Amino acid sequence: MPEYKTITAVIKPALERKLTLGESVLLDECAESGLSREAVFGKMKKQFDVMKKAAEDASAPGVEGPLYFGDAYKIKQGIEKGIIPNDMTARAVQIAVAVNGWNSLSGKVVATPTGGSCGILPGVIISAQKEWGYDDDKAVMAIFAGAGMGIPIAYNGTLSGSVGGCQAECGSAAAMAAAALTDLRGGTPEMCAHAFAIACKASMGLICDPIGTVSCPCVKRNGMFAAVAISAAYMALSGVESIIPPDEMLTAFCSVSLDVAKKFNKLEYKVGVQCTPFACSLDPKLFRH
Amino acid sequence: MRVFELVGPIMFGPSSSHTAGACRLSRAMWQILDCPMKKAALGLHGSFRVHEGGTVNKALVAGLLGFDTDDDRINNSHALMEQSGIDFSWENVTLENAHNNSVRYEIEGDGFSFSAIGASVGGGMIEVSEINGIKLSLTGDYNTLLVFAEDLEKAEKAFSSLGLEGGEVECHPGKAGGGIILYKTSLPLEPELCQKLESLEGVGHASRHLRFD
Repeated sequence: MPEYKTITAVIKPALERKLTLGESVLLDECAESGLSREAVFGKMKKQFDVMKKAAEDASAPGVEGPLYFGDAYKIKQGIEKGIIPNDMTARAVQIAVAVNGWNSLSGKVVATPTGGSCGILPGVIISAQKEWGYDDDKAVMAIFAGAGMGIPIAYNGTLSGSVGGCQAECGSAAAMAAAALTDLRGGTPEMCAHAFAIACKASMGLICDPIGTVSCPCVKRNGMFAAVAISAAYMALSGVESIIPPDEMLTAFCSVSLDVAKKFNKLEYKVGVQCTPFACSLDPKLFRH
Repeated sequence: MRVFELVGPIMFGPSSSHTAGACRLSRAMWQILDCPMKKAALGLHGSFRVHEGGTVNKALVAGLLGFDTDDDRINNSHALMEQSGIDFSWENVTLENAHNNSVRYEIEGDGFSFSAIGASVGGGMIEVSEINGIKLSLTGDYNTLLVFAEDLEKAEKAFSSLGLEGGEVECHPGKAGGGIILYKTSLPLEPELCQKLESLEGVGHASRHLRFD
């Protein structure tokens, strides 16, 4: 079982075996865990079901919290009324906001890679299913591709907003989702690596500055980074390559993440939107986990 | 590192470090103790500190009761802890050079007690960095057999006699000839191994921390 410490280490086994990235990551996971293909695939599928249920439940009218005001329902209405297009990106934004809004209300979700960023990959993948008619098995296979590509970030950087800023959460999720969508659309493992590297560029330096327990600005950032993931995948699928080699991009991404979070450390003082007069006027209890 | 660290676990919102990871960190203590818990004293550091008018993170409490990240009972963990009869206490602490999401544990059980420091490091992942004052690293990436040695040399012999293969062995010396042996493997570890080890010379306590599934 190869250790996925670099982007090259993730895609190389796929290239050598002439497999899609998702299939290759699934096989490596089976070898590593000693579990059957059915068990490993079934576990991911069960998680995908939780994502879909969260997307559905959170899109209903009346889903609200102290700092979440039914945004997913509003965007859904926007699509249904034709105010915004019923397309891949708009639906992905809607689903990402729904799933992360659900998370902010302590609902059941799947950490992807974290709670604060759990809407992005479901938004992109579920929307792609509607756009191109992929069944759940295809969608789940693509999620393996995204998950595999996230592992080098965990090895070389962090996935914790407290340690690496929002970049570590939403930035990582967008890079994973970009790779997943590229795999789903039939992109090669190299294209997945480029989609990942391109998406990384969008979140470099993004700080973690939540008001309340992971809701503002997290929920909206989930929506916006779903769009980032789609943009990156579209570029890579069209043959656009990251000028910076993906592994060098990974190093830069992880290094900026840790540096920026040292300067903007939300545990030591207020940062970003936490400093706004509006945020300061709120009950301090909202700032705590 | 496995794909389910990146996509997973199934958890309750809002923050994987403060729900899934917190639960798993405390659950690691429950697994390491592996006997009825009598007392749990928590030192809360960084983001786990309790502020005025607040309560201890409910997932930290739930893990001590053995609940997993997707267990609905997490939402009722404070009441269930009270009913459990465990002497539960906490204080805010400052741990040196510790991760922002760290907890110090002092756990007493029926026949075994230990202390530990660990952190919820993001995305539901955890790392236990110290047990009984001994620096080590325990994560959910593999199955781990923990052997608490009263006499490390004898315990090493006892461990070798099991003839386990395919994993990594770490011997961490502690005070007065004792220490901790960690055996990390991706293969299953049967519970009978612990009972067998505990019957051998030099071994005080043996338990397992299982890889996150």
